Amino acid sequence: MSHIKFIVSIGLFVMLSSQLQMFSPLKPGQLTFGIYPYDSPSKIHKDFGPLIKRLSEEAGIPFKIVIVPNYMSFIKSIGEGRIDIGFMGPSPYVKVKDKYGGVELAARLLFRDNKNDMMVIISYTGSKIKALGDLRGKTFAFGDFQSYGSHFYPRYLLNKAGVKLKDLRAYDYLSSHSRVVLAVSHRDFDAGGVRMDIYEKYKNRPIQVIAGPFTIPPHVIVCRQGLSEDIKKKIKETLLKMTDRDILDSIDPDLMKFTSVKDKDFIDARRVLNYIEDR
Amino acid sequence: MSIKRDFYKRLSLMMVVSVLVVSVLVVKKERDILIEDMQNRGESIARLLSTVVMESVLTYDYVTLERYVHQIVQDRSINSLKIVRTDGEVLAEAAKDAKKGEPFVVSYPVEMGGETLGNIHVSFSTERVNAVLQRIIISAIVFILVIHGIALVINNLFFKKLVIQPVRMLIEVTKEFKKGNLKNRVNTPKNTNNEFNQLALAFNDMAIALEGSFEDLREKQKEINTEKTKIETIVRSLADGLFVTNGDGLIVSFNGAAEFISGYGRDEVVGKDCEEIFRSRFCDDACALHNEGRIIRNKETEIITKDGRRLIVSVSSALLRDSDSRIVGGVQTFRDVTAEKQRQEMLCHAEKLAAVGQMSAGIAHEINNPLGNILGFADLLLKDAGITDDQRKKLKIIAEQADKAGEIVKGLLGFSGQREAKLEMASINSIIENVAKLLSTQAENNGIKVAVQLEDVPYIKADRRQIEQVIFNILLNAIQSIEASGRGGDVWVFSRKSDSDVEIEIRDNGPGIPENIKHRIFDPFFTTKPVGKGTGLGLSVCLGIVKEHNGAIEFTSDSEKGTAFMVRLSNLRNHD
Ligand SMILES: Nc1ncnc2c1ncn2[C@@H]1O[C@H](COP(=O)(O)OP(=O)(O)O)[C@@H](O)[C@H]1O
Ligand SMILES: [Mg+2]
Repeated sequence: MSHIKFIVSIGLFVMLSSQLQMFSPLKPGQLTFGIYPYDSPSKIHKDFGPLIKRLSEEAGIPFKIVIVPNYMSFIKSIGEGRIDIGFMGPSPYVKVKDKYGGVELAARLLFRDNKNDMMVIISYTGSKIKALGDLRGKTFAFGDFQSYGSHFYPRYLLNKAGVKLKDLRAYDYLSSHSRVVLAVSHRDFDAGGVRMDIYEKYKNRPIQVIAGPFTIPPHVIVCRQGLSEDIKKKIKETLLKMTDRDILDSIDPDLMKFTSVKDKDFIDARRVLNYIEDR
Repeated sequence: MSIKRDFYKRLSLMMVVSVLVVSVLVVKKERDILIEDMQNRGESIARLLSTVVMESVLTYDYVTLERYVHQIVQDRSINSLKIVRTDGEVLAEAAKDAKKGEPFVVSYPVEMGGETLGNIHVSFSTERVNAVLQRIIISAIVFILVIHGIALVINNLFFKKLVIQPVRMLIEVTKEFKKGNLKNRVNTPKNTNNEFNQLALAFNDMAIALEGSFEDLREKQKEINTEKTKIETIVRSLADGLFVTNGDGLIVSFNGAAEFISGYGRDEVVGKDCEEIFRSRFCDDACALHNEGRIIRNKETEIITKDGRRLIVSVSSALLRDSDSRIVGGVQTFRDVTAEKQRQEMLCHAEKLAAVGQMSAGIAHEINNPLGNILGFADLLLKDAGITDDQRKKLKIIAEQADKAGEIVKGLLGFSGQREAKLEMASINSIIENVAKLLSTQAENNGIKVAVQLEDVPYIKADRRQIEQVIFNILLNAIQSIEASGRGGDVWVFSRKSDSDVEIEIRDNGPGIPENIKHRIFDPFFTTKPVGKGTGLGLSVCLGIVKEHNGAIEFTSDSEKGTAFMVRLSNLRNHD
């Protein structure tokens, strides 16, 4: 009897400790690298593994990848210091910066043709929608609420075209760009906004662009402000000097390099966010 | 060899057929199992996927759906996976390069609250099934070949040891047997008891039995050969002619004596009918085949020789039968009795004449005296002067007539040969030799040996011819007595000197003279022999002659020892 209890308590302990470990940056001498869930966790691990390994080597500190369940929890985690370094889109950055303040930009990602810095509004092939104004009374798919390219900016564009949320017959937040593309392609929705690189990825699907492309702010890698200056400096330098194609290709073959970025590059984004969240 | 090839052919066929049948069954079963397996897998995949589909449709999460679909399609056996909404919209699809083989499609509906959202189609590659089946078939073939190879090697060894070698050995030994080497035996291994070993044992038993029989046969053959040679020698050396006819009456064997008697060579008669050869009543009279059921013994008949002489032959014959008593031919023996016959006739005649002569002599003697008296008295009267001329004339006639009668008597005596004994010094031994020579042929023909044992005896005064007649008669009687007995025997003739006499003894070991006729044998015309053979005059004449020579004649006889006649002749006492 007693050893069954023992096994059960061991099992419970293992479960709890792993649970704790997942969110705990407290392990001494270990940094957490947070990534928003743009794809399956295994894919994310694979994509970012080489880069994080390099950063860890350069910084002389072991890194741990933490994939956050959604944009909002990412914002919260990095804002509350549970994540030391993060890879994120423009809107989470603006949110963290404005709400928590404790972040510092390390570098931005620069893609070929700037495709990561653009977005389009799509509809399915054969749709009668030719312009944004046609979307009145139609359905629209958004990504994550906190996504700039798939929510804030498309909504901003709709607003500019005179289509407010209440003018749409239906809309929904599908939590990612890819889901938006596919839902539209399956005609679950009449239209949706997605980043250019995602659109490119699904270009052969029955979808068509009805507006765009529009420029959007870049994806960035940020550091928690509380990190030691030395580590922050090393990370920044490593990224900016990164020429290793293997590491870059692993993230995206179209990723050309990391370049420096300033908070003022997000002025437009901050305006759009405020505009949307005011309504 | 052929039994081996035949065996392997059948074995191979059996193996191939059985393995093929098993393979086909296994392949079919395996295919069913694999297909069922795919069906099950397809369904379980679809079932699992249907939840994802439901959720994806509800949350518009086609990305996850696609990821699942793509991942599932990674599975080797799945060709493609397709999720189709009820309106025909393909929600997710993944396919690999089309593989060979008919795809196997499992469809499964996605239902929620009784409403069908769509269908999941999983297409399996039958390539794997085919590959598996192919592997089974290849395995089966390899199995056949390997097992066949092993079986071939093992069987070859076993077959060689168990079948081929014993059979070869049997053949070898059988061949040796054919050559006559009955000593050979088949080796029989101790530790096995299969049919071949039993066969070998049986064969050896048979060989032993055969060898025994063969030995017996050889012995018998040898005996038969010995017998045959014996018989051939006997037949060849047989004084009598002998010939054998087959069942058809054709001559198959003809001995030397037969050649001699008939004048025909063996080659001239073999294969011919005996009637054709002898050209007489020989066959009707005496051949065994012509006289079935009758005993032919010493039957007299005749043949005509090659050079045309008619011979009287004495024939004995018998039928030849095989072991089943079937008549297979006849055997005839024959003897030329022509000369004997003639002699016998002559003897008979001579004896008769002698008897007549003797009688006449007796009569003549009796008449001579009275005739002498008549003549004497007639002469006396003629000298008497007192008689008349007429009386003288008549007396002269009486004397003349008596003289004439005397002459007649003299002539009678001369005719009968019973003239007065002409005494001369004669050698008894030479007389005996002459007579013995004269009768030897007859004696030999009847298987009688005549032994002559002569002592140096003096010449005596005697009538040669008469003494000859005496010895002839007694010797002939002796031979005839043995002849009549049919048992063969011996005759001895002795000459001995006793005092001044010469004694002649003629002894036989024949049947002897029965007691009741002993006192009659010297009587004229007393005989116990058949007409033509005996006259009954022999001994009476002998007695007369011996008496005339002042000799004596005696005999002893009994049925055990035979008969002995003794003739005693005196050298001193002269006749008259
Ligand atoms: N050696 C003998 N053995 C037996 N019987 C004899 C012998 N000699 C003579 N006899 C008998 O005496 C008989 C008279 O003989 P014989 O006077 O010679 O007349 P035949 O010979 O013609 O008969 C014979 O028939 C025979 O029975
Ligand atoms: Mg006689």
